[in-house]
Amino acid sequence: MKPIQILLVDDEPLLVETLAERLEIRGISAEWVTTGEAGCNILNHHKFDVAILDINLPGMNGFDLKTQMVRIAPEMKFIFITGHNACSMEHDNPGEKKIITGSTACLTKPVDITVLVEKIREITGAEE
Amino acid sequence: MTETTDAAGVNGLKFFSQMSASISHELKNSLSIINESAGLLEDLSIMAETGKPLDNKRVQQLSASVKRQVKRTGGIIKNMNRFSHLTDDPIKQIEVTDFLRFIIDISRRLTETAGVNVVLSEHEKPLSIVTRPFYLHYLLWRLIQLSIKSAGVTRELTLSPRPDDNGICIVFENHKRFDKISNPPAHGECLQTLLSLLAAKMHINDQERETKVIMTLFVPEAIDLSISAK
Repeated sequence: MKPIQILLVDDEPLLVETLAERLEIRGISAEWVTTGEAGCNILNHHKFDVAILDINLPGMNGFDLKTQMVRIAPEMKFIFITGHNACSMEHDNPGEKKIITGSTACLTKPVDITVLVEKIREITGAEE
Repeated sequence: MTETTDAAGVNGLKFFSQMSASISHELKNSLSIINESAGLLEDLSIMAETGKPLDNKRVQQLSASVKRQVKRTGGIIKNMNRFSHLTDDPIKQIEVTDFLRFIIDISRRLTETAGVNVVLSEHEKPLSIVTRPFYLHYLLWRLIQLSIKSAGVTRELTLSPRPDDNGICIVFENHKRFDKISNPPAHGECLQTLLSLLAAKMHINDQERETKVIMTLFVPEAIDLSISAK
């Protein structure tokens, strides 16, 4: 069976590199990039099942990135990761509140790898 | 308390919250890297027990990564501590270049998230003033925010402190994106309060035909103690 394909987008390279390696160990194929722009570019020539996006990306926040990515890969699922304590995100600009809806999940940093893997399998409908 | 200091207090608290949230976010990022590095070390160790050779080079890289993040976390906490103590002395002597370096450093995550690199052009001599440190930090942050809104293609904002006839001036210079710098009422009202508390003045040079916006903040050498803010 083809492994689940994951795209990680976070501006902390050490974080995504290590997280990708840990997902690979668990049988999940993971690519990573550190900018929203690179994330959109890679979607043009690679298909992923799930994109894991940091919310506070430089230049383009995770919500706007998701909107752009949905245009390129409408079937792809999303998981947000954030350093904020709550996932009903009040962005750094007060009043700019974004709500996480639909099939999108949200996890708080530091992420528990077991919870992340469970969430990936849950939203892709994959069995262990 | 006067109406002015009430308004400055309420807005100041919002500013304090915003900076604290940003600092906590940075700490979370650093902790996340430590968490994943420790987790991967554990994964490699478990795999070694099942017979897969341990990659010593990778183990060393992960250990070095943890050490770097501990150092980074120490720096964030040091800044957080300095920020928390800004309210200890309502009026205090500060060295402006060092103060700006601290502000740029503690705001880096917020400015980088906005996609702007803030650069300090240092003055060769110390520039000491007696001022209200907390309100000066707040005012400088509002001006950085205002500059970021208009930052053009280079996405770089330069802060240059210089001596001035009555104290010091800080020049904010960036290539502009818009025809004219935007100055929404929320910024305007808040800026006026802060300028008043610091006995400071501001000048914006934003000519339509020019490609740069230059804002200059003039701060006196010593604050007038007759303006009450405790």
